[in-house]
Order: sequence, then C-alpha cells, then structure tokens
Amino acid sequence: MATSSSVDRSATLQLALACDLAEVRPAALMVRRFLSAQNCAERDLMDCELALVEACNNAVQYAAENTRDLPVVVQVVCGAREIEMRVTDHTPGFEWPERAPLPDAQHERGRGLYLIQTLMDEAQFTRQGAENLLTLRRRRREPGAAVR
Amino acid sequence: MKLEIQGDTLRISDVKELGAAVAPAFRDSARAALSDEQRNIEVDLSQTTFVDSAGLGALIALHKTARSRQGAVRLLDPQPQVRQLLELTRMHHLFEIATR
Repeated sequence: MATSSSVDRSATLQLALACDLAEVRPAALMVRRFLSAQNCAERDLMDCELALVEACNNAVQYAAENTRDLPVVVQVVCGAREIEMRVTDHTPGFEWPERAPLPDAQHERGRGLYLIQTLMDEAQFTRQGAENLLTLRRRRREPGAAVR
Repeated sequence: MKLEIQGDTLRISDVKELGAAVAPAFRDSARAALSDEQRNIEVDLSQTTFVDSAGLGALIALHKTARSRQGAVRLLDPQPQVRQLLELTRMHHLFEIATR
C-alpha cells in the first residue's frame, strides 16, 4: 500500500510492507523513485536507499514471531532542505548505540547500524508502546554532488 | 546468476542485486558450484545495481571459503553505489577489486 501527498512544499510517501525480506527492495525502489521525483541529488538517492534497506531488513529480521503479521511502516517526508524517513517496526527493540562500530573485516554481520549512522546526518530510535520508531534525517545535497 | 568454472576459478556473473532476500542463496549456490580444483572466486559486479550489508556478508563468506583453499575473491567492475559500500565498510582492503 502506498500513499503520497504534497503539503507546504514537503512531499510525503507512506508505505506499509509485509514483514518479509522480499518486500524491502521493492519498497526502497519506490522511495528512490519518489525522492528522484523531488529532484534529490543522486548521492541522496543512493544513501537514502541503502540506509532504508538496512533499517527495514532489521525491522523484518528481528520481528518477534507473534508480530510477523503486522506491517513495517515507512514514511518519507522530502522537504526543500531535508529528507526524513521514519520506519515503524514491531521488534522487541534494543539499546540504540551512540556510534555503532564497524565490525572486524571477517565478520559476516553487524554492519547495518554502522551504515545507517554513516549515511544519515541524524538517526533516532524510540520505543513507543509495542512499536519502535526509527527516524532518519539527512540534509539534501546539491544536485551533482560527488557520490563520495 | 551465472556460474562458470575456468580452471582454478569460479566465475560468477549476471548478479542483478545482492540484498538480504537473496544473499544466502547466492552464497550457497556459489559454494555448491565449487569442486576441489577451484580456489579462487571472481564475482563480476558490473551488472549489480545494489548490495546491502547482508550481500556484503555473503561476499565475506565466500572470501573465507576461498581463503580456506589458499585462494582469493576478486570483485570486477563494481558500480559506484557498490564501490561506495565497499569503501565505507573498508572491504576494499579485504577484496581485490579490478576494473576491466
């Protein structure tokens, strides 16, 4: 399910994903297309796409068995200067690290939070009742900005 | 995904994406294609438009497999988005990355 609107020069897209890894990439591509339609820089598209995928993968992989029928909700607000992505999940939650370390090169897992924090200007994780809300913010780069 | 054997090397190509939904199958297919003769794994990333941390994990798993055979993993022609991921996570020090 997807809805979009444009209010006060901000455009909003909301998606509800089934709790399934196969749902994550199509949703991230919809967000990429939405941000592209708002004339976001390629660097913003790339970084938001990867950060959102990492956030949604975590939301699916760590969902409790009895909450797997609940959707992961993604809301994206694109303003003139900032992109905000909110991911609501039903995992048990965890202590959000101030700065997630990069694991040893031989470790196959554990880079998701590092990537989210590296790619975004701000990331906040809050527990709200039985839900968690991850809010990711990024200042929009100038179109044509170097990829990195 | 295409898997080819050339001497001591397993060549993997036509990988469209390497995300969490497909990474385990990618890793397992590659390992299953190895016989005793192959020690190196070459992954053509020229057609790969997206890799996430789970996809990276699958590449690291193959690196460990190749290393256990005294071989290595070589990544060919990663696109900018994938190259950025490799650099951000410092994986460009782990893998040999080649541009043709």
